Amino acid sequence: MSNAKINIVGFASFTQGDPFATARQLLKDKKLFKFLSKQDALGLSAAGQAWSQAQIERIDANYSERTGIYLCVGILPFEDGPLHTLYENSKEGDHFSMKNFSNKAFPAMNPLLTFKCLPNMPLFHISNNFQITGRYFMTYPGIPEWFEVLKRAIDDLNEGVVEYAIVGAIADQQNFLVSHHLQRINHALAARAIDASSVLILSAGQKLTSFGKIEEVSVSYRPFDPLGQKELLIQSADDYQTDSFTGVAQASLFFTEALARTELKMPLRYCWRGDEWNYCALTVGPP
Amino acid sequence: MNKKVVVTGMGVISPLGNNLVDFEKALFAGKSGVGPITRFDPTGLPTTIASEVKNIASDFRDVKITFALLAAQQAIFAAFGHEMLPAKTSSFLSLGIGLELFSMEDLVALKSKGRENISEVEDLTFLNTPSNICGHLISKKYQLTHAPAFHISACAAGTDAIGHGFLKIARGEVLMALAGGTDSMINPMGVGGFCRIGAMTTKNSTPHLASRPFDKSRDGFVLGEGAGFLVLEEEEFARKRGAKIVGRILGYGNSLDAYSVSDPHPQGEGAIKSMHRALQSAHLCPADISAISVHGTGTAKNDPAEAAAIRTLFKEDYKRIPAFATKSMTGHLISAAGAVESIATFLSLQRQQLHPTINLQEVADGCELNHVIGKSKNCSLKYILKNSFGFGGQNASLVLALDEGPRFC
Repeated sequence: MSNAKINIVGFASFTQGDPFATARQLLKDKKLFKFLSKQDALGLSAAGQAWSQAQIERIDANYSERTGIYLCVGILPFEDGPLHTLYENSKEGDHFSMKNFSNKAFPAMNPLLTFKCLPNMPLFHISNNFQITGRYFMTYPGIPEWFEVLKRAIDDLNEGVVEYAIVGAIADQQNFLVSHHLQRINHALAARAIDASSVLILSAGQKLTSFGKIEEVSVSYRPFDPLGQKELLIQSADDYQTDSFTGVAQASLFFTEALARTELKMPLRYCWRGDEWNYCALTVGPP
Repeated sequence: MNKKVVVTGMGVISPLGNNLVDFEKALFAGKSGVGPITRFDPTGLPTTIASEVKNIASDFRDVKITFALLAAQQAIFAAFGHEMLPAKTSSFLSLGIGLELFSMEDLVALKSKGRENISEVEDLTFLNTPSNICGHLISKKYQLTHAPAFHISACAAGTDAIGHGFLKIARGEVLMALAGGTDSMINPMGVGGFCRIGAMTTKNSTPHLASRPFDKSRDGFVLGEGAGFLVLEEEEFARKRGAKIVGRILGYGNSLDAYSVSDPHPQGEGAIKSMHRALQSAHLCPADISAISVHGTGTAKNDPAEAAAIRTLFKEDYKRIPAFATKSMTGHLISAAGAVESIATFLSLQRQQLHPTINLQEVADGCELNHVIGKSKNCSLKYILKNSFGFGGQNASLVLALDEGPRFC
């Protein structure tokens, strides 16, 4: 990465409470509430607080086209309620029946489910709520991929393609599908999985209050067999062990939580190490 | 950004053919890939047709993984003559990809018996092969040196994947990118979900006439599936190794509508921004463009919004610049659409010929453009703008060009 000096001008996380309640307060168009999935609500909750802290709208009325959104979500979430309805209406004995799916499950399917299943919807809700029409990069599903969005945001900022960047990570993990996935790979981790989101707002300019400067981003990758090394797909940082497993949000949370402390020791360094060759690190120094 | 980006290989698995030769032949003959759904029995659903890939035996229950592996193999072979990259070439995969396969069979098995009572739990499709596994399989096979990037910006994902690959090479981070997309949503949940929001055609009795971008009688898109990959290389690196140059990528731009959860901005404001940014990145103006590969889904709202955006940006030039919709033949390949349509665009540049938008018989009100109607059209083509617009307001555009010899910076 280039020798970047990018400022963190806003940060927020969401790990406790009802994300829908927070998102409802933040939503400027209340009619959109019915379209929100938990993943959308988690993303909007963290982004809204970070955006508010950065105060970009106050100092720059023309931010809309010059702000980009760079998001990383976890693997496909699916809520228990709709899933159970699909199951009840699609089964015949212990087996799936296409006839029942067509005749019972399909008519009972709420059209809103389609919107709630789409992984790119957090991008819509954040952009729409804050009227952001600049660039974007939407990816998934783990910590190395969050580093990819971070790097793209930094490059876009350095090149002047955008002036402000919302860099977010959203982990909707307390649902049937993600729980199933985690249990299959690491039962202990599955038991500690929580819902979490975290957002950093970055700027290359000097107009906004800086809480820290990005000093170094490094990523190392060596191709691996994903079917033989599934542990590498669940990614967790060795040096950031907490009671909860926050999945894709972990790296970003490390910084948002550290920056929120009153006694802060800089520089902050987070390192995810999947194995000897696969690792990512970010260092944030004083403003 | 000061590095030039060229394309040196392409690979395609599509409803029109599973290699470049068959794909090109069907495309320029104006053939439709649409037919009755065979992947499952859709009886009882409003839509029973789709644009399926034919004659592929999948090693994975999630067919899009097989599609991606095969298309990537073709692209790498076309670029390098064998299935290996030059040693230690800095390289990465940029992949537009759809959701995990949501298998209803797995859901019923899990819920009925309980996870602990299913001996085959490891073989369940449910996230046993999450989509990112596909990317790591490809990265491992070709020993790509940088981490793969996954794009999940829905219908814009394939184009964003190519754009991201373009940026990483242009910015000097890597020398080579394998960029493209793969998708298949032709399964009960995929088809059911799109039917439930009324986005798909119900012209079930005439499948080959069902995908009708910009036509007055269009009634929704046809779901397709497939994969497409392009090998992008830094120009000097490619020329030094004697690579055959397919074409160039000159620019990329994307934008957010910030308008509606389901509809594009009616005047195409977001689309205008993405096209404008791609042109800006290519250092071109609208009048320089020879043709436009439109997103053109055949839905009620997308087509007039895209046409309005093109008319606004290109002003009177829209009457001169031909527009063509590959989805009229392939259907909508969702996350793979932008990649497969970019391949169709490079074939157009090479042939100096545009394929038609089939089934366009009467242009709908608001959809007025210089459409390529009826049969393929010979044109002088230098720069083609490629559009992809995603559900939820993500817009991506590329400027693709003919190779006219070395242009090192």
